[in-house]
Amino acid sequence: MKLKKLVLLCSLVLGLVPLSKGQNIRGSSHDFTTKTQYNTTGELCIVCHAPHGTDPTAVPLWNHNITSQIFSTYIGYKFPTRGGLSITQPDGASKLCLSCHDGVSAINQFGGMMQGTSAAPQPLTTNDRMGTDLTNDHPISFVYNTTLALLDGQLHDPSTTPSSLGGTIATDMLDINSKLQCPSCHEVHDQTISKFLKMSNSASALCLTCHAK
Amino acid sequence: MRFKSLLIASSIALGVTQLCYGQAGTIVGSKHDFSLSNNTWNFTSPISSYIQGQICRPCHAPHNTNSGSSWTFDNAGTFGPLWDHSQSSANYTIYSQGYNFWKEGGTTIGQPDGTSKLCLSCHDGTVALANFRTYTTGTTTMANFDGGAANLGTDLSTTHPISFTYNQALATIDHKIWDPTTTPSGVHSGTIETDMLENDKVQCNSCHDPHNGAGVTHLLIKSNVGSALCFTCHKL
Repeated sequence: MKLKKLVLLCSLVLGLVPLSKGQNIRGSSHDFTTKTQYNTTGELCIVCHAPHGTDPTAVPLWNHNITSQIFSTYIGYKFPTRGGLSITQPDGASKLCLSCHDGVSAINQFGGMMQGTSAAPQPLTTNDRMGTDLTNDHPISFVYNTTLALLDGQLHDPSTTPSSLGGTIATDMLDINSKLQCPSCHEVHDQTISKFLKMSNSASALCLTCHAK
Repeated sequence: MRFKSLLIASSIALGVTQLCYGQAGTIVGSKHDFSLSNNTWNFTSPISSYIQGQICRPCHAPHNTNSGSSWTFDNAGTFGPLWDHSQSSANYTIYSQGYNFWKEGGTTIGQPDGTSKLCLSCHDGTVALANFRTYTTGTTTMANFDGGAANLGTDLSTTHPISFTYNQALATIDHKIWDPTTTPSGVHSGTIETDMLENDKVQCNSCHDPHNGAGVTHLLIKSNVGSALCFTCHKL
C-alpha cells in the first residue's frame, strides 16, 4: 500500500495520470482495424464488443459468436490424486477467448453474421490457436481458492498473496467465481508485454505469482 | 496557439471551415429527418395535415409543449427544449454485466433518466412514433418500423450502460476509463465532462447526436473509425 501511494504521489507530482495499464490495444495484435480480411467495419472494438444488442449470455457486451466446440481438458496429476477438482469445459471469459483461439470457430463471425471480404468462415490459422485439445495447455476455468492451495501444497493462497498488480491473486487475477481463466495471465487489451501477458514473466515471475516453488 | 492560428488560417484558405469542431452534418436527410417519405407514420392520421411531414414536430413544438396527457416530467426545461413527444412508462431491465461495476465497487445503475428517457420514448418500441402533441392512437412503433432496426426494446441489459454517474471518482475506481474532467472529448473543444455528459451522467446523447451534428453514421457524436468514440472514455 505504501508503494502504491508513493507511485500515486509521484504521478500527481509529475502531472501524469497513473497508468497501471497503458492504452495499448491500438497497434497490438488485437487491433482489428487492420484485419480487413475479416473486419471491414473500420472499427476495433466491434469484433468482440458492441454498444447495443449484444449476446445476453456473455459479458461484457459481447458481440462475437461464441464457440460451440467441446474441448479436451487438462488432466493434471495433482488434481485427481490430491483430492482437488477436475477440470470442466472452459467457461467464463476463457470461452470468449476460445471463440477465436480454438482454431475452429470463425473469427469473422460477429454482430450476428459473417463479416469481412468473404462470407466464408475464417478460422484462426496462426500459432495463436489452441485447438480443441487443451490437455497440453495450462488448466483454466477451475476454482483457485484457499482450499485448493492447501490441498496442493505448492500453490500460494490466492486470498492473501499479493499479485504485484496492487491487490491479491484473488482480486487481480481470478474472476468473480474465483476461477482461473485466460485473463488470469493475459491482458487481452494490452500488448505492452509480449503475448499480452498481464505482468512480466521475466525469471518466471508470472508463474511464481501462484506457484510456490 | 500559433499552431492553432495556422490551422484556422489554412482552413479558411482552403475553404474548409468545419475542420475542427464545426457542425458538419444536418438533421436534413438523416435518419431523424422525419420529412422523408419512408416515415409514413408522420404523414397519416392522427397527425393533423398541417403538421404532417415536419422534421422537428415529433419531438418538439414551439408553444404549449408537454400538453399531451399524463406525462410525468415538468416544463422547466429539465428534459430538453420544448419536448412534445409522449413518454414511455416502461420499466427497463438494466445493464448489470460490467466487470468494473460488480467487481470494483463502482456505481450502480438505476432506471434511465435525463434525456435518455426522451430517446427511449421512441426507441424502446412501446410508444407509437406518432404519439406526440395530443395524439395517442399511432400504431407504428420502433418495433415495427424499418424492421425494428433501431428498436432497443425494454431490455437494456445488452446495451452499453446509461444514466450512471461518470466522474473522477469512478475513473479512480476503474483504472481503464479516463478522467472525464480533464480528458479532451474531441467532440467540441471541451472535456468528456463538458461535451459528453449530462449532469455528470452518461446518457444516450453522450455518444449520439439526435440532430446529426457530426454527420456520421448511426447519428454518432463523432466518427467511430478505429473505435475512436469508444476510446474517448475507455483507456485501452
